[in-house]
Amino acid sequence: MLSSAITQYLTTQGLQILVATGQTLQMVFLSVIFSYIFGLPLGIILVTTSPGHILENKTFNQILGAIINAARSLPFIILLVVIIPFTRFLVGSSIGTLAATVPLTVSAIPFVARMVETSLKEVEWGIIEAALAMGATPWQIISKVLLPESLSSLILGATITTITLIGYSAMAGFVGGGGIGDLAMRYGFYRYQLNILLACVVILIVMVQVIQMLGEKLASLVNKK
Amino acid sequence: MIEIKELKKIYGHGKNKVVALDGIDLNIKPGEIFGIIGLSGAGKSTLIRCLNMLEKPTKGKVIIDGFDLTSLSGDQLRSVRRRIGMIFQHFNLLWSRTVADNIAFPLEIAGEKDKGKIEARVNELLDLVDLSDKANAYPAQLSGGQKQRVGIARALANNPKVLLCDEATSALDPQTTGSILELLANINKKLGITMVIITHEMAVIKAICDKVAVIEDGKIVESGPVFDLFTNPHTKTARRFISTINSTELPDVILERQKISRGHSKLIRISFIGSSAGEPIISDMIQKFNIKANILYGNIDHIKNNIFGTLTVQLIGADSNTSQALTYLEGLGLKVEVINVE
Ligand SMILES: Nc1ncnc2c1ncn2[C@@H]1O[C@H](COP(=O)(O)OP(=O)(O)O)[C@@H](O)[C@H]1O
Ligand SMILES: [Mg+2]
Repeated sequence: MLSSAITQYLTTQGLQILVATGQTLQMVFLSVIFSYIFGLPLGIILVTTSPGHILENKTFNQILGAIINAARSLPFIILLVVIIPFTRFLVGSSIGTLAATVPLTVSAIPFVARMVETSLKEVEWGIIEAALAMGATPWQIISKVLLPESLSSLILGATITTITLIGYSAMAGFVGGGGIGDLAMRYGFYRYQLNILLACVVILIVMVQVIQMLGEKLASLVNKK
Repeated sequence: MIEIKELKKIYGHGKNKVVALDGIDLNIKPGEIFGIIGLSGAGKSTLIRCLNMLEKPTKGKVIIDGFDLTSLSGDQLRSVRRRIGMIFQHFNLLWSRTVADNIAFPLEIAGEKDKGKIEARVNELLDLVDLSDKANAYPAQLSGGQKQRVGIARALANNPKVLLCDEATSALDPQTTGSILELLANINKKLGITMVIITHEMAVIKAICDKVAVIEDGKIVESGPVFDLFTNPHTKTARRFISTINSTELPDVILERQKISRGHSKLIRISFIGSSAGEPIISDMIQKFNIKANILYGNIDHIKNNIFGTLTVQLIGADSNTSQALTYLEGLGLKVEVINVE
């Protein structure tokens, strides 16, 4: 009797943790993917339109830089609320895991753009110049030089982005996004169930460690320098 | 093949204005290996980079194989660039590609899609630069000399008519430099490619160039066949470059000795070119003018089978006899200088 009660208790708890973990992974991976779909081209544009680069355009570059900085300076918690109408328009609801993906993505886009910019800037100018001397078009330089040459650095950037988004996803509870962070807040903080809090923290730590490890492994695998 | 007309390049403006090239005129013939030598900051890199428009000239024209590059842009410029190879001091290979894929790179750029054709061409080039065993290595696994071989193979991939080399051996040790220069000379002979070689080392010019131009402060101060520059330099800069490999300075001990025994002797330097090097001039002179000759110092050198050198001799005898001896030597077409020891 007692043992079955405990088992039942544990399974409900376990199930909740399992569901929350799934929600976190879903939010994080969707927002990483979407933020790169937009952030990667922005980062490429930031670099290639910078002074002296292959598509130099000073005014455009400065305006884009200013917009990205402005977007980055907006606190996430405010973005979360401000963006609600847009979220509702996009996913049909402003509540839920999918809805939480929208502010996560939007806040990550300028971050990703700057990460990508930093990685692409590491490519030696001499290599780009060699390609120019061969008669490469700007698109060929982007696709055959900039991206492959900075792949390792881009992967490390994506690793940092992913881990940062795990942290941000904890705040998704405000829009009913669920997830590990939300669970930890609800049970651990408001109801003072330390075991759940502990379990959540352990899961988050493991998640971060695994992603960091995989990212570094993959980055060094593609690094031929 | 390459015509450079009144080329000017000015960097910056106002207070930061730098005149890097100040009216360059050069004419480089098909198949020639043309060297451009100058000290650091003379404008060498700017000049060679103006040849494929990596640097846009401020003024003047660059005509390569009939195309005025200064008037081209966009696709037209890109298509001409595909026929001009370039190699660099720091090689500039793609780290993320294997040796074979680095060599395939310009073929891809030129729009070649046929994998079989690319592979065949890459193998041909690997063979040419003697790197077939490194096809699947990455640049990070190669030595400097091997990296430059890849650079050369890559530059030749699209069968260029012109090869531009910006300090291509300056990052290499002397022995490796030698083997890279030999490779370039062989390629020039085999394929007849016109080469422009930028360097600050006279040894590079001497080893493979047919013609040379000396650049100083953005101007060509002297140019012509390499042999002429070595045997008859007109500018101080040229002489200084020559002295880096051929010392004509007398060691101090010899000068000291001459000071002591001055009286009735003269110290002279004879420069000779070509065939006269083989004739018994000195012994003839001794017999004819009843003087003694003390050979103090000499060197002999050759550029592409042309012999030249100098001989420093102390002539001992009556002044009138030694003077006649000098006239005799000059009469033979030799260049004779009397060295003042004071
Ligand atoms: N991008 C640049 N901007 C401003 N000045 C430059 C630039 N590149 C070269 N210079 C200047 O032009 C002159 C010639 O440089 P360079 O052609 O690199 O000489 P070299 O290759 O003979 O050492 C130098 O005074 C150098 O400082
Ligand atoms: Mg230079």
